[in-house]
Amino acid sequence: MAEHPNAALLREAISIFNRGDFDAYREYFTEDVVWHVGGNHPLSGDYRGRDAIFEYFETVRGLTGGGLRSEPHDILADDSHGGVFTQVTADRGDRHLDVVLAQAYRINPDGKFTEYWALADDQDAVNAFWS
Amino acid sequence: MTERLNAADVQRGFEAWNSGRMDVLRESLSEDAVLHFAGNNAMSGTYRGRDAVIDALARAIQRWSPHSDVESILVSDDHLMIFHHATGEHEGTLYDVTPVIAMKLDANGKVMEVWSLANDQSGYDQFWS
Repeated sequence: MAEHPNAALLREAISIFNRGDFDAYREYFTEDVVWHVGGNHPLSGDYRGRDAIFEYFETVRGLTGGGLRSEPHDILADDSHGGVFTQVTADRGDRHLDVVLAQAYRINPDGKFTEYWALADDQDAVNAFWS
Repeated sequence: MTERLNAADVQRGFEAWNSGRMDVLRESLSEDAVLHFAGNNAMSGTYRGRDAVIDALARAIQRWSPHSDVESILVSDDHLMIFHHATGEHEGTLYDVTPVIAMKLDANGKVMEVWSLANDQSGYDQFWS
């Protein structure tokens, strides 16, 4: 069965994120996108608007030396939703992060992300990593 | 593609959830199932093992009587993701939340891992407080 176009879109976007090409990655977001970062750590909260979200991504890049990687196990999609199960790894000094994130996306008819939220299999590890 | 669980199965699971049919939910879980419940609320945390997961779900149903409607169901061989829509009122606060239930299936098609995450986590925390 052919991959849904939105699954292909997510696969491509994640690959661009991993390369650190934020100029290209920006193209996948609407201007008024909302990005919910869960958990209980200094980066948790709702980021509203593409500019705010990319400030957050820059912060993440700074804290992890650009080494945060997302390697999808599975990508699910329909015409307006995406679901990604992905192994996320990063290093921050002597801290190491290695968790599975379940990520939910809303995708508009132009193939741009309008909303995102996620949860890790080990949220305590995520909280400790960013704290 | 072998779809071990399909949208009709998920609808049945949701009806079981909405009507408190724990036997139906129990059947769908593997013995070592794990539930990750997001947020900072009375349900938040990780529950390990089918009994612990069923106890948590039964507690949720008895105490809060949640009801939600399916918005979209995504299915692959190994995973399911269900977007559902929950609205209501809790102690005078209106909420309108889209929680997602994400599931990983084992080789027998049983649910081995579940994540529950909401877009409006603070609204959801109020609901589950």
